[in-house]
Amino acid sequence: MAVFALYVQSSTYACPTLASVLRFAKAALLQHHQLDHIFFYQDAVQAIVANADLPADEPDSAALLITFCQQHDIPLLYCVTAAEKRGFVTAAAPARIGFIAAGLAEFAMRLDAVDQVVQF
Amino acid sequence: MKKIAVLLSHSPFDGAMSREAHDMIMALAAVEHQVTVIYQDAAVLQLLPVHSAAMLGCKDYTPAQKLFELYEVAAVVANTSALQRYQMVPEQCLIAVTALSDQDIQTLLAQQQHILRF
Repeated sequence: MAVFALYVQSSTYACPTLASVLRFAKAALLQHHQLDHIFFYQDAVQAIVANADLPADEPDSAALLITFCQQHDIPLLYCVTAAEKRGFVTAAAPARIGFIAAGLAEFAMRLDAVDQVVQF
Repeated sequence: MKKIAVLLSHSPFDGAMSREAHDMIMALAAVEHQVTVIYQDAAVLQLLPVHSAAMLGCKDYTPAQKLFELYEVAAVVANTSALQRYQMVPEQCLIAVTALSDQDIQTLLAQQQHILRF
């Protein structure tokens, strides 16, 4: 059994990144591995936007991921600096509920307890 | 403490990719991971001094690479074939780098516990 961290940095808009993350996370738990956390950085922080207006025929992959992480008590972290620089989070428009603000230092420290990092 | 390689492949002003990679390198090193930075492909251009920063139209973050030594980054490596492709030599670089072949870099990567790609 291994302890995984999922590190997401590629775009999450109009592409299957979040679905891939969720698929991997489910498979890892099914195989009795542990997920220490999921961390969003670079353009992937777009996933945290609370007020995105998704077309009705598009899946809300972020919502599915949030629900899964809440059910399994997996911290869903994002780099607050990367999000703020892109204007994805402000005092008036906080991140979508379920995402937790973190810094690169927290991600770096968590790697001490992780056997494998999988990058998306 | 983990042995972590950060593999850089993008040219210096290709969006925020390289700039945020440098932030990650310093965060990893600050919490005392043993970080190896590897410049390959167009990323070797990050090592060249920018002579007219005012003309760039964006922030020249590249001098911050000089902080790698202060943060005790374990090793800074540039891919030999990438240096050749861009007609560069290590002496031109902003910081001291060790030029390594593809095969040597493969060996180095095999020794790491984590690898992050930017």
